[in-house]
Amino acid sequence: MGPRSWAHWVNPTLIAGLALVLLVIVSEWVLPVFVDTDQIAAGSGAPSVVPSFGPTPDLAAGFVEATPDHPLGTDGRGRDMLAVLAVGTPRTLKIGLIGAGLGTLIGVLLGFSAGYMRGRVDTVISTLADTAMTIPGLAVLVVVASVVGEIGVVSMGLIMAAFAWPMPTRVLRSQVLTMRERRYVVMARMSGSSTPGVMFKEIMPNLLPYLAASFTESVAGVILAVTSIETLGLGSRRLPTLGTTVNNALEGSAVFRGMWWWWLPPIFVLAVIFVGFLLLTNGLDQVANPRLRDESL
Amino acid sequence: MSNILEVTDLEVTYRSRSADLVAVQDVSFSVGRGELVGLVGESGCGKSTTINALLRLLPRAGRVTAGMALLDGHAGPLDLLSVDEKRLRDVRWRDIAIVPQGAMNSLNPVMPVGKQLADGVTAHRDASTPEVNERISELLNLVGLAEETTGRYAHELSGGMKQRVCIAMALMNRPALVIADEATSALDVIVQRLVAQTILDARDKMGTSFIVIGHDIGLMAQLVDRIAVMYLGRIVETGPVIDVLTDPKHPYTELLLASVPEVGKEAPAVQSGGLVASPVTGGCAFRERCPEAMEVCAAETPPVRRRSGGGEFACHLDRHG
Amino acid sequence: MRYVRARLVRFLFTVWLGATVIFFVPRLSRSDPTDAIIGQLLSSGAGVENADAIIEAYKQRFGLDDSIWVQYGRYLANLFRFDNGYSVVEFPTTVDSLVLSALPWTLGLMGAAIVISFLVGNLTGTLLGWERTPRWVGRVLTVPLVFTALPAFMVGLLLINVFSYNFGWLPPTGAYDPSVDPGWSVAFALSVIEHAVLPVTAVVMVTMGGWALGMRGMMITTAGEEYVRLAEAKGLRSSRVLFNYQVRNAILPQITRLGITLGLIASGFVVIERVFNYPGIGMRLFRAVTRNDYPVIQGVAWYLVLGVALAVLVVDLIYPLIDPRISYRSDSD
Repeated sequence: MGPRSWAHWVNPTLIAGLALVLLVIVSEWVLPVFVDTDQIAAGSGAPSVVPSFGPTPDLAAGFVEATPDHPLGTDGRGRDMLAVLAVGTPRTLKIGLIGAGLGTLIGVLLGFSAGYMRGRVDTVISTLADTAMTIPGLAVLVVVASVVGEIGVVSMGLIMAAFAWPMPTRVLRSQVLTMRERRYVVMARMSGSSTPGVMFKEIMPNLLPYLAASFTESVAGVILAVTSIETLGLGSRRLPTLGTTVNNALEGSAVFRGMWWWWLPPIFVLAVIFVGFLLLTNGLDQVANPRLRDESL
Repeated sequence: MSNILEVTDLEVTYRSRSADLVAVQDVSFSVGRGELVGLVGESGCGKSTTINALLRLLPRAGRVTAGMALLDGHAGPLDLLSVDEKRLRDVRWRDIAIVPQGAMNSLNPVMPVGKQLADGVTAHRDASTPEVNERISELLNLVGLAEETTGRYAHELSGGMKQRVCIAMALMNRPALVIADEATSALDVIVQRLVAQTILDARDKMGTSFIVIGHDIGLMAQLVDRIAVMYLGRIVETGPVIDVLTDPKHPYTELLLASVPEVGKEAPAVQSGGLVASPVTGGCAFRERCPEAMEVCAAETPPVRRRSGGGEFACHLDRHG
Repeated sequence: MRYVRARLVRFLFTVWLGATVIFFVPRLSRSDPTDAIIGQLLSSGAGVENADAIIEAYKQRFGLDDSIWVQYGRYLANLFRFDNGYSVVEFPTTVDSLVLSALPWTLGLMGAAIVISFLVGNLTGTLLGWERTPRWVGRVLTVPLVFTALPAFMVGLLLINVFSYNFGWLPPTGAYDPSVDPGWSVAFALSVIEHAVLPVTAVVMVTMGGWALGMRGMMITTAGEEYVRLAEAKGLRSSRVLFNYQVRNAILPQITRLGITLGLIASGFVVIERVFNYPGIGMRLFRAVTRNDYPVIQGVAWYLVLGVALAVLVVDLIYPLIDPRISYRSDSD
């Protein structure tokens, strides 16, 4: 059994997930064509009025439902919602990708070491990963974020990585432990090419689908975590993300003022992202483990 | 009905996305009351499929596509293959029980052994707890296990102990017929003896009939009355065990007997062709491995010939007269 | 008892690791939390009469001149006495009393949501994986699983919008109607339940799918087990085969998973409480964040770590009771 053929990767679930995720990613370049992203500044939608909490939405009161100028309306502070989404979506995605990417990288290194070296190294890494998983990440993240204050996209991604590594570590470790005993790896070991480097090259191509699945799962996990702490009012305040937009809507009591266009769009985009990554993960799982395909719903 | 079980023209087909595979075809045999019938053949020959069909335990892809299996149980003869769920549940374990092949995984890992012995009884009649317990200790005694075994869990027992628990379990309701599926295969020789003795005891004391499935010809010779040899989904030869083993009529039976290791005897050369089961497409299924294959073997299905002294075999050749 | 000892060691290790991270990580950043607290106290000192006293208390408490290791040791020692210091904003209320007063609400809401989700999810999975389930039932049961990928707070917002804002059927925020006197009365109990419906539903809707899919997979696995087929051959009632043989074994990995995912569930709960304005410790955390009440943030975080670790310990200790293969005496994991 060598590296898998490309036919494995043609999988309806995988393609659907990829399409959804690409749709969100592409919007980063498409949306700014249609909307002036400077409108994310407070009051840009209705420059002359002070935000108010009046019961009926109109421009004079500081927020509006859809108008030709503001296709998705404006939020309670007069910011154009489309512009907010155009700026916020890629920022949220980037945090997810950076966090999950670095987390997966750490996971690969730790998981591979644990699975390859076994013994004491394995015990230490496994215990750490298992323990880290039972620590509610949000609790620690809130502590960190509340101390750091204003956090940019990159630093936020880096912080999130600290909580995205245990899962890939576990996945990698168990896969390496299994692969280690597969015949072709045993052969490679017996034929003298037993250095970790060679093992790494031998094993990695087969682990690729598992890794990819673990990465996409992490992206969703990181976005969930970062959105969660932003919903608590932490994270970036200067520029919007999807999470801070939800938080603003909550602070502005958007639901009870009937301003569905304030809280629904960021949630909708988040839902597309989550479903997209879930489909991607499931699709990759099926690629990694063809037996799952027959069992899937 | 004088026989406890009569199987006629059983056919089982496995459906897969690409093609249907006929795993068992034209299988007919009978089991008399108190009779021990052996079913032998190499793995993949359809032994397990046959008994799974009789017990209605075929995996989802498997279907019985033809045949009848009349079981003469406590409620009169009925066709196991077509009886409705309710009556099937009624005859299961009461008239027909099984000692499963994978005794290692045949016990529920989270239920004490005693409960698993008991629930096969209480599912069929209102038996009092003391009565059930008495029966349990009686049977544990019969298979040579201590009474404390009832409180144990599967992981606390050795393979041989689990196998014996399964035998005791099968005999709980004094069924008329027990199918022992490779009941002795995974055991060491001493436990094998004990199991064989238990089967003979059960026949003598309770008149239980057995279908014994296995590939240990030596053990079969000492245990069963009649034997049926299966090859690629068909029964190729049946007859009284001594007759078949001393005077095999079918070339496959001969090959099977010659393959039994014996001290001081050279193993015969075995042709590997046809080892993998493939759909039978007319003619004799054994022809590719048969040392005496002829042109007619590819063209025509072999005729069923009678053995003198009882039994049948299916071959174009009738070598020994 | 080796098993118990191993689990206890792991529990203590988890709590210690959590506390250590909570202590050190903020100090790695440029801003020292103690400075921040004191700075905040000073800046608001004009309004606070006893600002000096607070600052004094904190200086003493954190021993600003001591080395970080001495501070760390003191921090751990204080945790042992359940002493997380004072709230900056609500001085002299202690952090521990703030957490304690909020805890019953969180425990009640979270307990209800986890139990309901686990039961409903596993039942759904059982039916989805059972060979005898009619096809149409299976189809219907997959419908609620579409929420599986979404965060709980998202579904919570949708529920509030539909059932509170549009229809006005259920209260959107709080734990009980302020016009009802808290106490052991039917009216109060009803009010509490009424307020819990939406947040619990939100959590159940997003978490039950995970249980259902896991259970479905385990059902398919156990259906192929020899002991299930033998139970069938014994002519047992199909309900007995299903529950005593199949489900009884299929549920075991689900319980292990419950232990692993508790941390995640707790994290989601903090946000749910914020969305529903539910007066549990998640809400305390949110308020502390908005008011920069650093000791409360740190304290709640540690209690979250402790609470989840405790719950995991309980799951671990219960497990041998339902799986005889794991005995309290065995030393294996």
